[in-house]
Amino acid sequence: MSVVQNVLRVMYVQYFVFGIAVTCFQDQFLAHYGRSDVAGSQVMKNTMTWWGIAMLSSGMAGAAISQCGDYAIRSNRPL
Amino acid sequence: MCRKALQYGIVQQLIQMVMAVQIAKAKNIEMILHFGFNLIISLYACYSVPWKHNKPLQETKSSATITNTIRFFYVTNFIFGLSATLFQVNPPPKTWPRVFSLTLPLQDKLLESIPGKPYQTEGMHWWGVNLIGHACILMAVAQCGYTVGKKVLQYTMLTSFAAVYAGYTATYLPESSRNNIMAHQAFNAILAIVACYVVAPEKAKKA
Repeated sequence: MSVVQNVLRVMYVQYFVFGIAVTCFQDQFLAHYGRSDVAGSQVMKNTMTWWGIAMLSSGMAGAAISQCGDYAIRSNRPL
Repeated sequence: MCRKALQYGIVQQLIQMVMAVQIAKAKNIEMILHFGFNLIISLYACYSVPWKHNKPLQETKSSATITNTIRFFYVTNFIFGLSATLFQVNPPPKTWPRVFSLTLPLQDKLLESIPGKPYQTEGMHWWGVNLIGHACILMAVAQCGYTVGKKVLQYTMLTSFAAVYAGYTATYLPESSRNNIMAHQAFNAILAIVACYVVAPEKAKKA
């Protein structure tokens, strides 16, 4: 279980890192990816804001799931 | 459960691999390696790590409200994800597989319905893929018990509040778009609060 849990942790940390980069550090993110063509575009930045929030949401869900561990095996259905 | 979330999340990594080739305009190799790495560790964790057959713990509570709220969220995420990827008004790249090109006549009026067209095509693809991936994770959560569902709703409601704030500060957007965004996200947050803190859970049925 711990390997699976650790892989999930890797995933949600990535979601958090990219989510924060895409929402809070947009210029640096675009510069890193060499996208000077859209660097000053408010339209791109608006899209990136919502994209980043979606990533943060996935990160939050991953964090919640990984905390449940073995307890998360429980199901709604009768066992 | 962790395994199920990873299994469902593989969908996102597969689409991202396609996007790294078809949509990305820079650092394609970096992206392919990144998404490929994620895909490989997910596949390894799901299918190679031996499953410990611990006796499953019986859930003592259940809540249809929480399950249905999560279902509502993943359906809306799927709809928005598909709208932002396959059903953009802008034509897809020429290399897009023919099966996707067939959806062109059915293209949604998503961008046309938003005054001022404040979204960028490539960014929308990445955003849409993320929404689809998030929907897949929520789909896995909806199949599990009360504890996981409640915790996921509690954690993800924070991003609904963040989205309300982002909508409030997005003064460059038309007033109607901002109001729609804030109303939608506030509705999501209230729904999660009601499911987590207002509606009491029932006793779980015994096997």
